[in-house]
Amino acid sequence: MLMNTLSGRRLVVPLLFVLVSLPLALHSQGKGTIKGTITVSGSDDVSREIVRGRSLNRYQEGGGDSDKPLPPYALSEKAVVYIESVPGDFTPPALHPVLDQRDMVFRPLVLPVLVGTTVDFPNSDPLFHNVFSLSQAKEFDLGRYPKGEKKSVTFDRPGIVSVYCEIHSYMFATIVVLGNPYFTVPDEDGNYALRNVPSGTYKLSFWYGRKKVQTRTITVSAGETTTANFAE
Amino acid sequence: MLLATGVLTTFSQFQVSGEASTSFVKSNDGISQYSFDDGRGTFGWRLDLFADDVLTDDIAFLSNFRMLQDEVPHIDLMAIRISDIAESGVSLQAGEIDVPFGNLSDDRFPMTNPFLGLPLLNEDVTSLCASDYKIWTLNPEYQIVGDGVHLLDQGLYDIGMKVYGDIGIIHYEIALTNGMVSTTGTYSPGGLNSHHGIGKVVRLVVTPMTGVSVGASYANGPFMKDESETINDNEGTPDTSAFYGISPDHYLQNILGADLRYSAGYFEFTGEAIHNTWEYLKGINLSTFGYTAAAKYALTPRLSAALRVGGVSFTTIHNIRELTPTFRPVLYSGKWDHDATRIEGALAYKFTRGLIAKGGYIINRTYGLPKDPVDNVLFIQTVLSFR
Repeated sequence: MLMNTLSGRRLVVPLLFVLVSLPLALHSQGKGTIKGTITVSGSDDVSREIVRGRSLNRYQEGGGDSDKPLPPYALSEKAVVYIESVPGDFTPPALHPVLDQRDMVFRPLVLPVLVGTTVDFPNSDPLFHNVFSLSQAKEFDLGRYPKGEKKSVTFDRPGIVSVYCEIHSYMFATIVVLGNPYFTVPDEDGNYALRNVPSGTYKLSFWYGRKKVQTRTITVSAGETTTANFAE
Repeated sequence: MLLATGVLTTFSQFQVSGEASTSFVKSNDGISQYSFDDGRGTFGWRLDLFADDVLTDDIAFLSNFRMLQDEVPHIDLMAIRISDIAESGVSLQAGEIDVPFGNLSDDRFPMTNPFLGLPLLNEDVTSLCASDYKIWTLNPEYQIVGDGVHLLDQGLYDIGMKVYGDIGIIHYEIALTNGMVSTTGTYSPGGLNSHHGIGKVVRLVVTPMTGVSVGASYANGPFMKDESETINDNEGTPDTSAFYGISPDHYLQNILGADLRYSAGYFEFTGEAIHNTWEYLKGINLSTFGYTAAAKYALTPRLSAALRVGGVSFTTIHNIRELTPTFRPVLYSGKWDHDATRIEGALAYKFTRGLIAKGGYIINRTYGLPKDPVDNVLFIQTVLSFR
């Protein structure tokens, strides 16, 4: 199970990098780079909350894999850095990012996407899940579906979409739907980089877990690297 | 795992969560057990408080407190759970546990339950008196109002212990309890064992494919209290000798149940049927058949509709000496209680994930009476869940 989970994560995270990089390559007129480091020093309350809810599962017979230890979330699965607004029209990627349901949790915990992107929701657990959201940015209910099936949703409005499973109430994830492709996730050391950002002044935000932690104003200059570190 | 390795990694996490609900209920006026607050339209509230602590991956403490209006809080669940003992796949719960009979599951709680209450077979009160173990077939006050034991005691909680686990597609649960599924420990002082036996419950659930589970439950045990009295046929007074020299706690209840749960896409179905026998005096068995079937469909992400039908049916007894309401002994032949059916329809709307409003109508029918008591119920309920 652990190996399966790790290999699944190996697929998801590089795919996320590819999806992030593709639109940026199309807009290579961008002139500057934003780099920085994310430092997480506090306890991982979000993961603790999920583990706690996952292990309670009080009345449901056949708890799936909820008794098995949960592989921890990688930093790239729960942290996102993004520019709030960049003028321009951007084409969503043809590849579909994946929000997996595996080991009785959503993975990743936070998924940034460009407006117009279609996200796949496969079920990798041997029982039903039900993905739904009542968020203003996207309201949907995919119903119950078994292992091996996947359903998809196209996110056509920017905003924060909180995603839940109706059957397992502790399961949640956040899809950050952005109007521009200038977002990224950090590597395991907390380093991130946004390249080919058009010159200008922007609001740069850091999302961690289930909330936006910080927003700061930065200026990107042609051919230069702007540093913005964040801490949780 | 914990017991296998001897390693205790303490990361105790205490969590308080719950559901608060308010309701307005209006039923018809009448003496039926199904009418609500004598037919007055009334507001009510309910709070389900869950206080849980996850000590380690394998050890947890679970509790539910249920509070209704200004009543004394009910402790439904107060259990210590040890999961996957020594990596055997066997788990254990001890304390006040949910009795493994039927498939109530999370429908015990208003956020998940699309209706106002539990299925009829959990709510119907028979005329088999809990206080003196007399069926009072000729006393309409008991027969229609209900002053006896349940078929299945509402949310089905009792003090005891259970072991459970999974073998392939089969989930099993074995429980020992102070009471029985019709008369749980709730009805004895302090919830302690009130007889010389204990309730034995076995449940098997097969999941042949995702979304389909078929369950079978069986329970056996004494349902009367050791000191129970019944009414002496000749004198009309409480008397333990009316048990014919046998201790009341030797009279057993046997109950067999089958249930089905099916879900796919936006549709859910749950059904349950039980056959229940209480050993009664002079070799007479009091038997009951009960059923419930409910369907729920999510019309939109926010709106869902649900329909439930249920019924209870009682066997016929012959030439049993019964007492009239004035304690005059007569011979009675006929059903020992009135059959009943219930149809419920409800709509639920999610304002947010944690706030819903639901409303519905309940049609109750009682048979075998000169006139069916008018006891339909209209309800509106809002439920807020928090964590």
